[in-house]
Amino acid sequence: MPRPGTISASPLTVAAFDVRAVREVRHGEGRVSRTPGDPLLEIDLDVVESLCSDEPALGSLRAHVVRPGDSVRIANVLDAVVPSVKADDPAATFPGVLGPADALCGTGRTDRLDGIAVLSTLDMGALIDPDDPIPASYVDMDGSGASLTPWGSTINLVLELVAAQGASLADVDAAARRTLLRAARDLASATAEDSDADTESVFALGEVAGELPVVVPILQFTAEGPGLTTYLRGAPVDLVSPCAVDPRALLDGALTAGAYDSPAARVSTGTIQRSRLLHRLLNEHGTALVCPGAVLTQGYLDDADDKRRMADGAAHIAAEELGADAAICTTYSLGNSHTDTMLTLRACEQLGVRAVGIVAEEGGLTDHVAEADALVSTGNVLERADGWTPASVIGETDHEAPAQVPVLHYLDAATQLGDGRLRGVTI
Amino acid sequence: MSPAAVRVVHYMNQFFAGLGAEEAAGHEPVRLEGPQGPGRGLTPLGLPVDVTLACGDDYFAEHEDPALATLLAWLEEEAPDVLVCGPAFNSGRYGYACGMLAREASRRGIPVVTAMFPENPGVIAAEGGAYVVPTTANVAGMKDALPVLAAIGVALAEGRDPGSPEEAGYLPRGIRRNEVVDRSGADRALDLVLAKLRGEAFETEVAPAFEVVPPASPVPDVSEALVALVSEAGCVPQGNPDHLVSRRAHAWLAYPIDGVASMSADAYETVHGGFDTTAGNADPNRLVPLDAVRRLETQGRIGRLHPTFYTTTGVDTPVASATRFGQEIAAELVNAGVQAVVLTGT
Repeated sequence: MPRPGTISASPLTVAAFDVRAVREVRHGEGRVSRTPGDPLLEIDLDVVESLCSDEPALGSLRAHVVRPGDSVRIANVLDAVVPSVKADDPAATFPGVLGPADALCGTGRTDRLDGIAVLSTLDMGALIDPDDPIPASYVDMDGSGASLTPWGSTINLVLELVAAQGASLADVDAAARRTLLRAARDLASATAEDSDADTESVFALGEVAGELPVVVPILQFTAEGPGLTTYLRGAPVDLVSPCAVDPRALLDGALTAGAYDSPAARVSTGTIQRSRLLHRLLNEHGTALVCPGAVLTQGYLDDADDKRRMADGAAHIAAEELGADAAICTTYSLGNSHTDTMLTLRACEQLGVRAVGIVAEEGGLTDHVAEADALVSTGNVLERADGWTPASVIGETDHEAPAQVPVLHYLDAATQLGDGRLRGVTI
Repeated sequence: MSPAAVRVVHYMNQFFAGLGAEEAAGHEPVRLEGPQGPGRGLTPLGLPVDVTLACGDDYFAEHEDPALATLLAWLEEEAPDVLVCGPAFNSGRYGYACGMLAREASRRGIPVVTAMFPENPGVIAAEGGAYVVPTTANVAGMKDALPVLAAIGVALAEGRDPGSPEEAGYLPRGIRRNEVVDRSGADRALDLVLAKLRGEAFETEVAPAFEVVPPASPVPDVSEALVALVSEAGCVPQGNPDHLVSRRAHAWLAYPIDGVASMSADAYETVHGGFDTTAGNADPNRLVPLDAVRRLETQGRIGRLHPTFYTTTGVDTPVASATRFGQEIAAELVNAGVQAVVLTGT
């Protein structure tokens, strides 16, 4: 299995195929189809719904297609995934969850559908802790909330999942993640006979001559058990110490979501796949800067010494292993993890690595250190969207949403990977 | 703006309302028709005042609750589109009254604009509820303040956003509002980091605005003191009978511990959602240190333990809620004569 820090000389090619319309069919015999060059995708919902037949932890799956402008709220959203498939070896897609953990990832050719996403819904809160419900998670397809989440402007194939009676949290979570990724991979397989992508991006990380600044992302994720964990090649990001990773592998499905707290401030799988930060760093590698790798670190640690150790470790890997002149530190979730971000920023600056942090706000900052003198705000999650009542709700839920839903509840609305365009300003 | 389309109420003190100077500072609240004093200067600026409310500065300071109740009842009757308070310049009592009325009116959904010297305690009293136009310390700044006051007042009365503090000329209220910008957070982060590397000027998008709490004075003699236990560790009687939430608490709770020697695991648990509760549930004394404080009480090293402990969950709790919890619990403690608190945080 490649070491996480191994940077392959082979480039990653991402071929993107636009999908501008979807036709739902139910005949139970085909899979998805897309006529080459045609942005219309045909999805057999019977086939999608059969995906849970070999998942004993799932009781049922109902598939829906929703479009921007539909008067629909998707509730209890677990994750959103951009349909993608390894073109030369579909079975290797999403290594560690679907493909073998050591499958090539971050190199070769990946086909991806643009304009469509696959979302899963399941009332996971009741399984994680019925006495401590996780915040409701929404994607609105219309109303002011639709523009808050990136998934309000995509056509969405929604997998409405229900847990099997008596199944454990760990089993339900694993089955839900697997089913979602299978649906996303199978959807993208519609590109199999289509060689003409709408756009093709090549990401290479070759040697760079000359004097360019070395800028690395320090990406924070969490691992707090089933329902509260992000996965690297299928294994929890439960790090003894931070590690260097190939940023192209992260865009290519090596990192998948499984943490369902704080919807606005967590990071969906699709947001990792589409990460603007990683795309910018990779696109400008060799021209404006050098990005020799990314640092994966862990936040939401309970112990003060663990926090110091992790922050210090991330800064040392950035400085010494990757030779960073500067780092962009992202944050995962709210509250506790902001202390991890602040400590990481401090550790970087103390090693001479100029650091910028990306943080969401809860009416302001949760924590701060003097070294955090350059922070990007991804918005105040306590602000409420304008009132909107959907005609229908998809996703098992007993909870009635307030008329004006706080930003906190919209998936990826204030993602601290930096993909959104919200910003908090003082008035 | 059509003057008939909006309703404007103006609050001022006894002096500016023409009721008298210091000798009239004890004047009870009054309701007057039309503009008074500086209110007359608002009409040519497009903000004609329908009703003026006035109160003596001393009366408000000494009878705050009934004064506010009267003024707020009148505001409810008038249902204004905007409330204007002041300008109060650097008059502490007048500014405080403006700030308190502004705060309470804004909580009732009435847009408020006021004006005063930035150091006036009324700015803090308003708690961000009002748009505060900065003025000079004395009345010489009236002619500069009124046009700004009126422009913001007109915008609020018409339901418009007056614009940013810099554009509209008011003091930042400390409220973090979202705006949608052209460039993503990632793009802005890259801009920032490259500016830092090049040694160029850069500006953070969010800075800390934490309150600095000075330490309390030492307790003169702890061996004589009444000591209380307060915690945000989410410690409650087994079964959580009052349904304390695990995070984003909206309330605090109080439970009797008179005659209780120790927080046994059979009787207490924690419902906190922000840390691994295994150790805390195995021995809740490590969350609320009743066993240790009882020993100190027995040894005479503290005077007596307050017979109630106070609890909430301190995770994801908005600062404003936590501030209110603190104020309310502190008021109870002060009333009970408590002189020292062991406050355990997690």
